Amino acid sequence: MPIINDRYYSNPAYGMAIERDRLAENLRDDRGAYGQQGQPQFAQLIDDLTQPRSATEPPSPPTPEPPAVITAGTPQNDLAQAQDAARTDDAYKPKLKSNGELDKSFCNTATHDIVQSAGGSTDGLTYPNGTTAVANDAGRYLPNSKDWQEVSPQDAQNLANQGTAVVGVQRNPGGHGHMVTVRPEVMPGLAQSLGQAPIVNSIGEKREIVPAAQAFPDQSQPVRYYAPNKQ
Amino acid sequence: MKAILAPAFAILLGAGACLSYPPQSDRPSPGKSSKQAAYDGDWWFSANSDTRSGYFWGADDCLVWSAHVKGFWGSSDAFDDFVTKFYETHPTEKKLPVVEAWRGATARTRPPEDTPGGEVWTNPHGFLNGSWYRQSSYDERIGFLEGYIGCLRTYVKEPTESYSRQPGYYDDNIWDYIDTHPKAYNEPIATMLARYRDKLKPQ
Repeated sequence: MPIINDRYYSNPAYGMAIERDRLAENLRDDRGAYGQQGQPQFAQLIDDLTQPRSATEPPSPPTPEPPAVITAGTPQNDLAQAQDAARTDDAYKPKLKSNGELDKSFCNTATHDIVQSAGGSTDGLTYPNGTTAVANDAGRYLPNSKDWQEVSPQDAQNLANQGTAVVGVQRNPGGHGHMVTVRPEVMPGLAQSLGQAPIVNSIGEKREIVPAAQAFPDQSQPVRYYAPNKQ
Repeated sequence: MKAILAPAFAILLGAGACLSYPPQSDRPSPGKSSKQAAYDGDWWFSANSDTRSGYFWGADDCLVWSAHVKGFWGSSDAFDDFVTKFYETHPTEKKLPVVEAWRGATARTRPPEDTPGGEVWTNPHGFLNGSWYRQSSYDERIGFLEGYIGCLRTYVKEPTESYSRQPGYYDDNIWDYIDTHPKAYNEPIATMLARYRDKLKPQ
């Protein structure tokens, strides 16, 4: 069945007549007085558009690429692998000591290790002697580090989606702070569209991938995000 | 194993019979519990992993800070493995309380090795505070309350507080309390729970 001006007609002559009239009418409306002034470029356009073409199957769309975060060798995958390794590492599980007391959680150590594994700078995440800073102190150091710059929550997610290690930190004047790394999304933009961005890899009392609002339930203190300073 | 556990179980039963609890709540409520749950092997296999994890933290919080009982360690994952294996290999001891199964298991293992670094919690109750509570699932919160209150009833010799309602009642109140008190994110769950203990009847 021939196609004329993107429409199917069983009778090509009938279809050409109909479509030529339709186009002439449209051009008259758009340009004014087509035909009366004999503008040849419009006549050529109508001729071109009303040539019958044989109907064929449209080309198949290209096969979508697998998400970068699950494709080995991409920066997104490297970051996700580093996060998964830390999140499932027994060393970072909160544990009870022999006297039954729980004494440690490891958000700071895990964040430090993930950033290091992803090739990021650990400046701002350590004390001058090289030991890992607690979250409250990292929250003071990072804004003053030449290697880091503060970014918005949305940019934090966008950068993580490109495989950049982005740190989120919340200071807590009344107790322990908390810090996380931003998780690259399998479907970039989904968290933003759901109002949940950024998604974070949280390792502390809990070890999970959750929206930032869940990892930082206390909304009374701001959560600040830091990305590597490219300058 | 039985040699270790049998005396402990006997002590528990005896303690349960001798304990005198403070008067219960002075007003009836839909959330009032008519029968105390037995946290034993049957309960264990009916609980999901979140509830078990919450039970681990709640029981430990009470054992350390209220009952002052030593000898429990591990992580919540290890606890789940310990207790599950214990009941599976001791099918005739399904009525043994979960905490005793845990005690028996830890007696045969070494405490976990310390991981250097980290955030060190030196305060009573550690990170079992409002922030932990708000990050936990409903099942984990209920498990915490079951572990904590169950331990208070069984392991605290002269309890100064009692809780006769269903765990969901306390969960609702603690959740709402955190909502309206921003400082509660740093407050121990045990302290918040105590706000909703049974009221004493006037003598």
